[in-house]
Amino acid sequence: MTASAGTVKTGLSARSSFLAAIDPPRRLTMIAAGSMVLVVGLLLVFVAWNGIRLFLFDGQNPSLLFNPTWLPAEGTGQTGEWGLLPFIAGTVAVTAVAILIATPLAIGLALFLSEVAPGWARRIVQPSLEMFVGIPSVVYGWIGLTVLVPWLRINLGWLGFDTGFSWFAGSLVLTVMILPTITSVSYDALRAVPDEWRTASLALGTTRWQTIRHLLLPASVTSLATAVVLGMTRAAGEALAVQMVIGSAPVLPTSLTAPMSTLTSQITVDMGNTTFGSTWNDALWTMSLILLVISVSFVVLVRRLQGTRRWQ
Amino acid sequence: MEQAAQAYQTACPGATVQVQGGGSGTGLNQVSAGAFQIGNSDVTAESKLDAGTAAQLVDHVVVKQGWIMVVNKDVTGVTNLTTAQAKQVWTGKVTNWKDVGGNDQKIVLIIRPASSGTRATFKKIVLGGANEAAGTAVQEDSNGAVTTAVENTPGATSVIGFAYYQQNLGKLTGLQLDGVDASLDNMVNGTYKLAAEGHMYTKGAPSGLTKAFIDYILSPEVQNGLVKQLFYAPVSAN
Repeated sequence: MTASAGTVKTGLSARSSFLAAIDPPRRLTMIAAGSMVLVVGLLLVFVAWNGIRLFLFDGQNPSLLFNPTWLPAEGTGQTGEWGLLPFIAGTVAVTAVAILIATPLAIGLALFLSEVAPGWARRIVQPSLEMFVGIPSVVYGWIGLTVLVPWLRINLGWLGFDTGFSWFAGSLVLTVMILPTITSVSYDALRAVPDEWRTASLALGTTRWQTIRHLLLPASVTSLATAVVLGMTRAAGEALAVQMVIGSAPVLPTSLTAPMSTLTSQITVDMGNTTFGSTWNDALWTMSLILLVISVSFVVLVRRLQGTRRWQ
Repeated sequence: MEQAAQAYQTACPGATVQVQGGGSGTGLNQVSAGAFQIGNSDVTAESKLDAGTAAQLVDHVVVKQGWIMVVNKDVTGVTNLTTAQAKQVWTGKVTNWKDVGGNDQKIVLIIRPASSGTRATFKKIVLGGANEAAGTAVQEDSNGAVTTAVENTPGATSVIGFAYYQQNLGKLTGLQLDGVDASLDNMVNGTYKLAAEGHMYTKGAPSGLTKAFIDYILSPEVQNGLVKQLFYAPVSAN
């Protein structure tokens, strides 16, 4: 963040002290950057500390992460079982299906925009995509709850959608939410491939599809992967919209048509009903910590991907 | 509660009472932490907090509140469930409405999350502590979400607050319990079982405005007026 700070020298005498070497505007931006890092750091420490309380103070064993039974209890003299596997598996499952649906659509759309679409079509599709990103998640959830869930129950009830609240509904809502993210990052990745490469390829007599298949996709594959990971990050962290359509049943996801739960939706459902310091509340903190670990690993993954570009 | 605060502020200019909503743990959390003077709860502090924290709180029972079993309007022929029948439905022993006198339709349970006060109360009073057939049942918190889910799902049943039911008449079919109508009178005289005390908790004995406000809520004027108007039952002291 401050990599370039040390190289500038002001006035006749080059000052040696690090603080003195930076002029006021630079100092200001450094404070801004520094406080951001500080806030992130404090947040990590806070969530981590609360997240391990379940194991440190409530006498629970980390094997809970692989325990599929969620039978919480609270109050004086009660014991419960706090298996977290349903929620971890739920988050992974709902994200995975959303990514499976969204990725081909998004990359196809990005290819259309960057390679096929005439200028006027691009001018319509791009702003519409940006509008998608700006819609608050509660609106997606609300539409999902009032349109998608009844639609699944009425039209696909024969497949097993008893209520419509389901894994599939959650993944579909997420698909719509992450589609613009993956599309716009993929689009930028494809545009970043130099035009000379395209002309060179076409000059060899290839068709447009051959150029896409053998040149553009291989050249931008790491950036496309980055786009997918960014979509996964958003999907795994989304709470409200998913919670509204997924049915929040704290069981392992076994069927696309049945209700299930995720880390985020369980936190949303239980946080207002539990009391601070209770085992239950600490279990919710542990879920937050797991979420944080997931998103931090996604960020690390994105950075590693960006470090391994094939061209340039 | 908001209405009570407004009425109190009108009756007593200069007093400011702020009301915040939340789940079954929010009120207890905030009053234990000393952030608020009064924490409302539909369940006792002992059932939520550890013994030490709960002991610091003083309980003021201010209303009696009821819940009502509701079914989707497509379910016909069922207007009453006995406690035994309700237990069969909720523990999954009966899975079709025709087995409890209704039409041939699959029963779909809409369950509150395990942390909910409504679920805890229903489990204690009607199910006698038995576990619900939660399985992959849809879980919704809050009266609004439960009502929407039951209203839109054929064969669905759940339990919602009596006050909320009364304010949204016509959307759902309310059921009798053991042949007794859910009504304020039946809650007061104790024949309708699915009712419990509504609590206001203070940390230590209340004083000043806090005490005045609780006294106001307990006054015959509010108990027989606003409380009943909002479909809660007055506490028997009045």
